[in-house]
Amino acid sequence: MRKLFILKYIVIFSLILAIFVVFNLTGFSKNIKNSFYSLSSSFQEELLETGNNASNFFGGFLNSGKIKQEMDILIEENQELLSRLVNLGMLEQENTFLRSAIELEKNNSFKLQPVRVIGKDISRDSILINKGSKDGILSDMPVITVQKLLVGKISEVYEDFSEVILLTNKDFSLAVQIFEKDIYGVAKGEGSLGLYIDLIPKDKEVIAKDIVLTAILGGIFPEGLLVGEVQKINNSDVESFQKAIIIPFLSLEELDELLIINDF
Amino acid sequence: MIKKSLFLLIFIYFLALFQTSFLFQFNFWGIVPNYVLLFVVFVNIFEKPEGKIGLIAALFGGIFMDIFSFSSAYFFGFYIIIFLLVYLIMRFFLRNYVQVPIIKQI
Repeated sequence: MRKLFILKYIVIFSLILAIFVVFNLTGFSKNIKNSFYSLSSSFQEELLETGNNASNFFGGFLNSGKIKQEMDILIEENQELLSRLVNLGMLEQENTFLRSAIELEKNNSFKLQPVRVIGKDISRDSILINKGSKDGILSDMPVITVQKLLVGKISEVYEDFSEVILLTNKDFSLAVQIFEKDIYGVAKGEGSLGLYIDLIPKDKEVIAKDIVLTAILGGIFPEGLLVGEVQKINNSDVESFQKAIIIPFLSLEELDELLIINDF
Repeated sequence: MIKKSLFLLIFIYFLALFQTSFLFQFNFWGIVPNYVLLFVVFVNIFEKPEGKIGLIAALFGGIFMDIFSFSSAYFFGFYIIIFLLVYLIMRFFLRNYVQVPIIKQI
């Protein structure tokens, strides 16, 4: 009896298996599936979308710890990348500056040394740079920008740092000339970023917008460095020379990387 | 019997649809339970020893899982065989070793 029971099951299973083999081989199973998919497709789509929304909703709760962890990592990575970006930007800036310095050195017979401004004192028209006597900096060395603008000269030298007085400092004076005119004078700092030219002969005609350059006469600065632009002329009958108010080209805000002329 | 079978047919059809379109999106530590199989197990646990509902449930469960599973790795009939095997194994153990007296059997 038991044997018959087992045999019955074996026969049923074998029959079922045979049916499956036929279904799979003839492709009839595809027809069955296709019919059911057609019947259920619209309902299935709805279910799939609802399930997806629900899964996203609950998944947010269930994985909140993981999401928080991932967010922390992303924030950290973002900060690191930002820091790298800033570094790259700084390097690019430095690279451009050094290229310009090399170009400037090539075009003129200057021997230049790049320096970085590390402190500014507007009230005293002076700045602090990151190189000192160790780097061969000496007093009275001219300080310029890459654009060949005269910034000032070294006033005090420390071992690792130097103080630069700007050309607008009250203690600063230098020989200047008017561009494309045979007019010479002495530029003097007024303090608070002001500058004027004194000792311009009365018979010389200086007009507003004239460009002021350094002259070789003083011996401290090379010839042809840009100083500023004439703003106003004071031609008083009482005084024996003309005076001209100058707007210096240098902008204290933009002073960041400078060049020291070691030799010219 | 026919009424119960019809009910099972409709219920398992929708359960299989739910399983393959909705419930599969909710996993527990990466595992998606097969609710159709769980239902078949449930039916078999509470079925009378001489009843055939468990077998019908296993058959319908297998057929609908075969229809609604989209994996081409399984041949048509794979789930039917699995479900029937589960049915036979459960039947064997429940008949010979276990009795479920607490809930009224189907």
